[in-house]
Amino acid sequence: MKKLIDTSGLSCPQPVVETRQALKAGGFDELEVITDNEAAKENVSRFLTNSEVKINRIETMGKKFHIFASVGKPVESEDFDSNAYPCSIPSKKGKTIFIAKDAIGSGSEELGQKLMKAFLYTLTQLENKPSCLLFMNGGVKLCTEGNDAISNIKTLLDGGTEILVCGTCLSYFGLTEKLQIGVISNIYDIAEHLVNDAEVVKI
Amino acid sequence: MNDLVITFPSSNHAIAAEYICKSAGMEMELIPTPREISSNCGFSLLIYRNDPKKIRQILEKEDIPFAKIFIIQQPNGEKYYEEIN
Repeated sequence: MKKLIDTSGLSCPQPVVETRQALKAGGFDELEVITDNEAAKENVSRFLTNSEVKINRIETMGKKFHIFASVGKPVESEDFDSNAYPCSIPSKKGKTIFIAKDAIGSGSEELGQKLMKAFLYTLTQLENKPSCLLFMNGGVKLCTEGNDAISNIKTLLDGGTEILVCGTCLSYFGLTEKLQIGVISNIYDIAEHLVNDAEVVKI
Repeated sequence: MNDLVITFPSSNHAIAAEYICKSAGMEMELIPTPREISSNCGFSLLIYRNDPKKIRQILEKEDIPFAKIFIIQQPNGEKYYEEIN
């Protein structure tokens, strides 16, 4: 018996939840799960592997992924947590870094600014680059004319890191015209990143 | 000319040297000391395409002590730091 589960249009973790329900109900030995996005494909595959279901092949048909598996005796993982199957794929995506100051920490402003510069340089040297830098409050100064950090932020931008700079903050400091790098953004975009991105670190 | 890395006895010296080299119009970065050179936490100066003799002269003139000067070599894409005297 073959079971077909079409999860098109469902967002994570729903495709995993549906796959799990089908496995629980049982009554089939061949399984095909259709997903319409990369994250769901990765998540369903990971879930099947964790459940000791053998994935025979994954085919890409148009924009959809078809996962073919043979179901022996599925092993129910006792600590199933749908949160372990979020929409983004953390292992492939870098972190979002929220920078709310032009210096790291407190104690000495001068040292904090030097540390921030050295930190941004170091990010350019890492294998795993951050996916996004969010600049707010004094952090926006790093993106404006005359700041030494710009060249390193540019290197990150060229490498695919998204750079968002708080427009309200630029305006408050009278720096809107001085922005050298990044996209002027708003609190809605920044809040969405903070809430939706897989991993956010505040500096 | 190659890129250079200069290490210092303390972070304060590195910061002082940064101001000097910057006002001398050099293209450079204050960076964390590369792991290959030292595992200590500290700042170094990465100076792009410059002459080590010139750097030495400037720092000595300004009386800023430095620890070591390294030339960044990248013969086969593999980066290493060659210490010079």
